[in-house]
Amino acid sequence: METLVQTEVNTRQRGVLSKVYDFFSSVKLAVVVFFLLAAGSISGTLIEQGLSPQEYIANHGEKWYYWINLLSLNNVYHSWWFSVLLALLALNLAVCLSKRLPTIWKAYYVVDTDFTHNLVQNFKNNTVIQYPSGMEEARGKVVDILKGKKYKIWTENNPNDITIFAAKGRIGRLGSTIGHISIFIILIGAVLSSAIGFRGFYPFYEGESVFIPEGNFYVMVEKFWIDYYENGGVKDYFSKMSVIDNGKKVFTKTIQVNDPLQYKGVWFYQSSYGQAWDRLDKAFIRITDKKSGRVVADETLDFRKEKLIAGTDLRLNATNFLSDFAYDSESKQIYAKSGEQNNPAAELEIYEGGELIAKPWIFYNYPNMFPIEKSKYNFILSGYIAPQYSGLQIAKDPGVNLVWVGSFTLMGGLFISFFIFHRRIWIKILPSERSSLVYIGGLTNKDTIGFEKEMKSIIGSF
Amino acid sequence: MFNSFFFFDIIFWIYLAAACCYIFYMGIKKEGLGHLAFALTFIGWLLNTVVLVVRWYETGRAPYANLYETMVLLSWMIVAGYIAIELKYKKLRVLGAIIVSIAFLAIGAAAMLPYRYQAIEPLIPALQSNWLVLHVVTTFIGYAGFAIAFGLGIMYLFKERAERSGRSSFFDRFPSSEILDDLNYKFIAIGFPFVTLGIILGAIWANYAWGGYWSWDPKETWALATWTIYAAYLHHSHKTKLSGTAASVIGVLGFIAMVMTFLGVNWLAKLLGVPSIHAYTV
Repeated sequence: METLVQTEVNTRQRGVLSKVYDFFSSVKLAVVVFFLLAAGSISGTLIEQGLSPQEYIANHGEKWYYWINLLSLNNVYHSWWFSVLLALLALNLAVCLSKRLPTIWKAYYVVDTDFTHNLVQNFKNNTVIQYPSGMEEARGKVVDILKGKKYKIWTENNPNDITIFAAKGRIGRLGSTIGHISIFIILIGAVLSSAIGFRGFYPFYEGESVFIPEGNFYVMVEKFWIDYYENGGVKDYFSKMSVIDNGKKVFTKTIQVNDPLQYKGVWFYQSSYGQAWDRLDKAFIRITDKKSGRVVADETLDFRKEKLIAGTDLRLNATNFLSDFAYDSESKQIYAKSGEQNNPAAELEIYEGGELIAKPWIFYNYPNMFPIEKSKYNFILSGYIAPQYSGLQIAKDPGVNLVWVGSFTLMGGLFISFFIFHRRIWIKILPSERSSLVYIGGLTNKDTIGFEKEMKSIIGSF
Repeated sequence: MFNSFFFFDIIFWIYLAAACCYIFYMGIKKEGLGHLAFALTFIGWLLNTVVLVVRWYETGRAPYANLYETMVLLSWMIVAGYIAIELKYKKLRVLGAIIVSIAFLAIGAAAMLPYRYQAIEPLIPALQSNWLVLHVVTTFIGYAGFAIAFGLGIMYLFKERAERSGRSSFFDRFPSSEILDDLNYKFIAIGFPFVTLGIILGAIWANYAWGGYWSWDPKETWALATWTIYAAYLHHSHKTKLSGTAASVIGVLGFIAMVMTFLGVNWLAKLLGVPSIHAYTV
């Protein structure tokens, strides 16, 4: 009685487990996940990714932003549901592989020489040939023909008959397995990339050396320049870079788009260039007399260098610059809203009679917006020269090598699987009066039409 | 006078004539008309080759760096694929009615592009690389495979309905749905590895030029979506025994995604304001 109950529980448990197993090993699940992945990733191209909440509300309205936020449609590729889909795909893949591998291996590996002529006649492609001589001669003929078709042949002489098994392209069986394992490798590489990989953008100014913590060395852009086409279009841009390790210049390379520099696993890619948004070479300041409006002086200031203004008791210093001035009222911080020159502003220290009387931001687009009360002068930012930076992408990504390995084996797997077909032929030779009967049957895993042609040609060769 | 645009205009008319011949051939089945259609297709393809070569000479670089040039390359590959079919399966000449028409549509679309898409512009820095040749050629072999499969899939859907209804119809001229299904699979089986290789080569190039093999740029994302749809097709058609209709529908969906990958990125940038580093001509 007890054992009976026990067994019942066991079957029920096994029932649930095998249902779960069946679910994860079904190809239908793969097809569904493929479609969900396609739809999910497409959604990320219809809604711009990674904007601020304010921008989404401005673009789509508050009601839509609720859904965008709820479903992480602003960050699709790092959302929980996208990860779940990828994990589901990986699990499905693993279970399918484990389930199918024994069968595939058997089809690949087994040399089948134990069969009857009845089995041969069960194949879709089969035929019986009456060969007008003895069994040994028939065997020699069969082997010749199959060798001509590049088959690998196993023969066995039995007391009453001869068995021949021939196969070619059996590696084609493994293509799909290799491909599926490759997807696994690529996924692992991608996980590594996002977990320990590093990728960032950094603007380099000529002559400035920058510490790279990922590799514990310094790099410097010694020179940056742009080449133009005759029509004025940009042809290419270059940075002459040097690597400084342990205080010594280790090497120099001129990089350009499509030609990066690599040192200690850290890669430097020429990705863009532009005008500085947070610094200046020169600031041009026009000083006018408040009462008369007369221009007192047009001065050129070096960035962060005090200058005495001749003929006055003024000393000026341009201490800061923002190309697109903005103010965040919450954190009470000023910042550059973009890298564009939309609202250029300079911070100016004004000393009059040896004493710092004001430190205003003056705006290129809005001269004299805030006159300095304590001063008898007005100060106008009449122009500036901002240095050009060379925009470099810096990356260190150990996952990438796994991705390349996986890609390489994936290609191998796909080409093997699609272009090499596993063809097997079973042959039985039986004695007959003064001749022999040759039973031929064959199977292919793909390209049925091509195999039928080959079978016809084999039979025609007798 | 004999510049690439001159030869382009000729192949426009020749492909149009070839497609018409194939369509009439399907209607009246006069073998002479079939031979004429094939001859026109073959001459068109030779001149298509001439367009590419002359363009290569004119630009001094691989002649598939903008939309117009890639359309010419695509039609070249589709027609090459079709010629292979016709030489291999002589009885399937009616397939030309749809496949050569698709090639003509590619040329027609290229002809309608505004001039700034057709003009010879020097390469922007990001495209100055040998990877351009490998990445584009492999991808377009795949695209051509998918385009041909799309034509076969559409034919399958019509033919299968006609077969089920049992009545005699216009579609009697089509090959049997079994053959169409088999060929559809074959061309997807050619397209898939090449598109995969194209994506991988693109990833290698992106890693070399931009510092990352995958950035979820719209073009990359649509390529992945296309890839997964065709992966679904391959798993579906071979491992489960559902109907060929479902398989053909998946194939058609894949082709729509492919067209979006090829052309849609510029539209996305324009219509929805989603930027792409792959949108070279705006």
